[in-house]
Amino acid sequence: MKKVIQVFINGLIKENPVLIMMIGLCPFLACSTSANDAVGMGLAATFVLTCSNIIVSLIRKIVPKEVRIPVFIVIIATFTTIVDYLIKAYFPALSESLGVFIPLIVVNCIILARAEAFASKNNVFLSLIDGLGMGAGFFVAIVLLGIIRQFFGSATVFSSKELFSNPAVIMILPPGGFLAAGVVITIVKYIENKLTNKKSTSNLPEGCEGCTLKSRCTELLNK
Amino acid sequence: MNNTLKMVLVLLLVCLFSAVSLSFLYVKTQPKIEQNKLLKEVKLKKQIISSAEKFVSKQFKDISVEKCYDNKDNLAGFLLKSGCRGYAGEIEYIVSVSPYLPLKITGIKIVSHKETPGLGANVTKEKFLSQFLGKTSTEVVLKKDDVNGKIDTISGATITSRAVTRSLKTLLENEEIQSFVKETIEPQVVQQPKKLMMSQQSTGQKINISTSTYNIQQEQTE
Repeated sequence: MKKVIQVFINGLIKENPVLIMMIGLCPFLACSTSANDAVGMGLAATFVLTCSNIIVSLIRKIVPKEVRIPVFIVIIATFTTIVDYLIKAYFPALSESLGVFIPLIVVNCIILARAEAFASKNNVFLSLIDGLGMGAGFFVAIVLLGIIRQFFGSATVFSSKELFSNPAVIMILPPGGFLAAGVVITIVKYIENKLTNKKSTSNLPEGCEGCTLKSRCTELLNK
Repeated sequence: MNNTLKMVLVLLLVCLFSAVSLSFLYVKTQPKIEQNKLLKEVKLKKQIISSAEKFVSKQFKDISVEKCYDNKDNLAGFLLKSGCRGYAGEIEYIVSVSPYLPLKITGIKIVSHKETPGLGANVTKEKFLSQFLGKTSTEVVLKKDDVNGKIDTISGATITSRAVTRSLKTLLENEEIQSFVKETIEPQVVQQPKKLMMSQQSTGQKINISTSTYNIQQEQTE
């Protein structure tokens, strides 16, 4: 049970795919122009991530190493298309605002990264938890950015009621995405540094110590 | 060799499974997706021309025209469906026009577009679209392009505003549509001499009366 919570928290906070690992930045920037779109994208990506993790984990023992990447991509593409059809059929408004970004979940590198780094090495249940955890991490990050950008860019949050006049339109344009993401990531890094500094006596972490992939590296080295 | 065979088999199985499940889902969801599209169009039509109950459609090159009749079979107006190239792709719209000449816009809605959110995407907002209501083709010009223009540009989206406005202007001035409207309304015009002046119909011209409108006229005279 402890391991389950650890895997989930790992995805949500410690190795948050967007804010700490810096992967999946494309949908993070592209689909955060409004909070509603961000929620839709977050849920769709979480669904694909969890399902592909389960299937990859299920067939991990029969897939030859040489063809694992094409197999993963086929699985991810299948689930993405499923989501695309379902959204088009049952949430037409969402499908209109997310448009081309739903099919592009296929190339969301969080999903392939988790299939390769976690699901192909762990059992089905843990892979499911990892998918949910990483999905939750992505969801929280993109919705946070969506709220910030929608608030400053169109003066609304979740509804169409304008909270103030003359919003800064640049915030919902691509440059605004980079600005908002930069600020959010800076704050997260600051907090992260504060927390890790309290534990260790050293100053700023250097070299491998400061790297988020350190645990992966040591894991590989030990093998 | 054995390993190669295994690779081929696994890939084949995974792809086969995915293809089967996707085609199953496609068959299940496709009718629903088509239905959504139709529903949306019907909803938009109702919004811009609320009295219309019956639609008779006719297709011109890339414009579809529908004659709209209300529940008493009176001509309520025309629905024109067309599109133009905006800033980032096709903008599709439907517009309802008056059942007399010169054509006046009585309602307009954007069906689909791919414009930039926050800038060009504001074409869907009432603030922009309501400007077109009651305007004839001479007035449907951007204020910044012509002194006679009555349309305010969306700030930060000149290309989008200009594209929609120009496309609407050419649509209102389209000769095929104008003659189609003339043909349809001519029997009614006889009853309303004022409209005859507006339509500027030359007296010697041969008039084609379609059977449906002819019936309506008979009912009215009774």
